[in-house]
Amino acid sequence: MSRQQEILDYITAELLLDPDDGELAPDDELLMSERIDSLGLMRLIAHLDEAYGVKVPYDEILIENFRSVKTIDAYLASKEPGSVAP
Amino acid sequence: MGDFLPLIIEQAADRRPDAEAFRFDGTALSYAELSARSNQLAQRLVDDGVGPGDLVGILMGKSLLNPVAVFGIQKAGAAYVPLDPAAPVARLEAIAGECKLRHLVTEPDRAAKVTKLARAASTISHVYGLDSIDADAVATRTWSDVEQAPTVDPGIRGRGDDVAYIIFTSGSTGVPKGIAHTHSSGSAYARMGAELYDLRPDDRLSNFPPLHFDQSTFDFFSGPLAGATTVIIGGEHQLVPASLSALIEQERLTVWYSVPLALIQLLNYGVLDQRDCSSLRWVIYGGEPFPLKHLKALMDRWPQARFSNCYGPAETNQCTYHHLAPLTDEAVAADRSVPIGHACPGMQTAVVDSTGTPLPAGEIGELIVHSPTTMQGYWGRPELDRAAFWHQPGPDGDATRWYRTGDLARIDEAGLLDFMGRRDRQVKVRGVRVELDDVEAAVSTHTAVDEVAVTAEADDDGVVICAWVRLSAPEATTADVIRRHAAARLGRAALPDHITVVNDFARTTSGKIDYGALRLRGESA
Repeated sequence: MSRQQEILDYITAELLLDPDDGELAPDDELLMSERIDSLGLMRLIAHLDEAYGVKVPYDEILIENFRSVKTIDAYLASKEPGSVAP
Repeated sequence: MGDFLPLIIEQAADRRPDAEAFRFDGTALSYAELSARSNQLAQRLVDDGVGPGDLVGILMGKSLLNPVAVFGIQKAGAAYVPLDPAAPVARLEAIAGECKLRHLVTEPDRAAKVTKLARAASTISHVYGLDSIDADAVATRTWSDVEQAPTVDPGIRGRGDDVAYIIFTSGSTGVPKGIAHTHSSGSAYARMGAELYDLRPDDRLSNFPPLHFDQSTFDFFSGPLAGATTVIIGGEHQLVPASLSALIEQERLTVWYSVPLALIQLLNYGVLDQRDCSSLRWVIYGGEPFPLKHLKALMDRWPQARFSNCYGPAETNQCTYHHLAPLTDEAVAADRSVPIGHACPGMQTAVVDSTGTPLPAGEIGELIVHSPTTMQGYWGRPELDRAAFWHQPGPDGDATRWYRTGDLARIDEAGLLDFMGRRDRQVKVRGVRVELDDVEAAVSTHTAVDEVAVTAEADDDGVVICAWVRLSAPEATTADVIRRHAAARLGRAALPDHITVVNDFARTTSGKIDYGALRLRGESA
């Protein structure tokens, strides 16, 4: 399973405020459309540390990095050794 | 005549029409503009048959339309019923049903949810804020249509005991219960809040909670009563602590009011060392206890601000307060909780036994409240009112109506009230009331769940809800599926944080589930 799919599955299973709002797609707005709330965002950040060993600095908890599953995946990719800062 | 909440903004508009009443996302609505725009909404509502005694729903995210809707609905003589836009449709439908909602005020990007709700709730006949809706027999008006209406007040003046707003909370049977406040109780709270915190025209208040959370009435009524500016906080600022701290700095907020969690997140993730929050003069928190180590860290971080712990169920509004003295390391080490303090000015509290007899200092009993800020009652639920109110002589001998909070308290050696927990299985999660029996009822509706027990445990930042389920057959379903099932029925706060499948429960000798044996710690997570 791709990392993007793993993140999507995690959010779907654990964090969605109203699962009846429809299936979550990688490009869907997560935060500004209220699919998840601030507490969900904090749990997601803890999960990224547990699952991928990525500690998100507090000043990088930004909408642009966490807008959608796709941007989260891209953000994680930017944190891999040898990658260029986003 | 008497109390009428929209008079708050009318009086402010008379005194200082150009002063900023509300701000959101860098834009402002002056008192004169708010007066005119809320008149326009009121005019349209009246055109569509709304009048005194009616209820009008609000389903909106944060924006400058929030105060337009609140005051516009009240100016039409009606009461507003704020709905959580993130709540499952089933819950919204239950509230709409309790209120027999006919009119709903919303905004364009809520079309999908409003359509689902309008299809499910057959009473809804008028929707404001959408150009069309795919539901039978529902008329719509856009906001641009509303803005064509006359800007004069429709001239409706309700009575003080007319219902002004209804806040819905979780009920122990799964049916939401509506806490109905009148123009009198709302105005009494607005005055008390403005006086207790000495609010002034140059104050800039936060509005962190959403409209459906009772704390928002302080921001919407006490702030304008003082002629102050209320800064509505939404979007990124509500989600990202570092953005929120930047907003406090940029907007030069002077009065903050929220549940402790928002402040704890600011402290932990808000990069406060990079922010100048010296404009804050009051930090008010309520809804649940503030863990002492976080509270002390925040007080140390913002030494110029006074901190105030306030207490009060949505039924009474804030009814006690305790302005904090600096916390010592010894106090933090002892982990003694901060008192909820004294009755607010103009209110009475008493700690009583099960017969209503006042208890001496030091003894734990139920906290009861007599105050002009108390609700009229639960909307359409006289049986709940009978259980919630006591009509009997108070400590001063007068026959009065006392609200039974269900909270346990005692008066400490210094004469201050201490909160000592609940009489029943109600807990607070991030300031939101949750009835554990309600959560059990929702989880047990899943066909593969044979038995469920729901408990609450304290963790570092507050309370987590744990559901323990026994399935009808091994692997009949998974915790994920149960969570999704519960999420479609419960508000976010009531959703279990942990769902654990068990083979069987530890039992008491009578065969009931032994709740005392259910502990998350020590279990394999």
